[in-house]
Amino acid sequence: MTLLVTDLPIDVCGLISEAIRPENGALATFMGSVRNPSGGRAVQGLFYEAYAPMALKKFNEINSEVRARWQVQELSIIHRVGRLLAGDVAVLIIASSAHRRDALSACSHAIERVKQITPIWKKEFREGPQGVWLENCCESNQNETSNV
Amino acid sequence: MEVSVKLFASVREMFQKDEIRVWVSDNCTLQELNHFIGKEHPNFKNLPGRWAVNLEFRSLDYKIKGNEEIAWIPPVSGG
Repeated sequence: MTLLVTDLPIDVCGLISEAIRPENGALATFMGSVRNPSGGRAVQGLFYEAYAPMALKKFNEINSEVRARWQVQELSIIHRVGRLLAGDVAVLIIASSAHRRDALSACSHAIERVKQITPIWKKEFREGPQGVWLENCCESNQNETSNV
Repeated sequence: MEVSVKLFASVREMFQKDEIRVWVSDNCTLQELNHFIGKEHPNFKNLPGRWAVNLEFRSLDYKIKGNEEIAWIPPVSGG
């Protein structure tokens, strides 16, 4: 199991290879990478920032949630921070289990929860030096409390 | 008592610092902390986000104790 926030490139193939075990018949992955274009706009890159200690605590909570619901042998959540270019891998989820349904469900749940509860932010750089901080859509930020 | 508030992302850039220090009354709530910060920093008013204390999200009625790690969490955008 790897739960990590890192400013280094994510070794996707190495981490997947490490997760392969003879007793696991299924391994599901989600890999999120920097998209260009995005929303019809040319994107030069993204800058990711994390509140790393809290992000790791949330990764651990997600791990507990997953294991309470599905029979998962391995679960890894790795998120990169810093400046990333189009095509760079920003986040990797790996879930392995005896059967496919557990691995697929665990992987899907994990990435949704990463986007909902983990204190990580991204700034999108389009044309020019000024970037724009983005917010996750859907239910990601619905439980927030405005400081009004 | 004086408390430190960690800032991130858009709010860190707005304040041009990653932490601010604020004097508050003992055992004040996070709602009252909002008020104290808003008095010194009007830009802080009406910002969307959540409070975290010791790495956990907390509601506005949470009472601050001494020596806690307090952070303002803007809407997240990981993934």
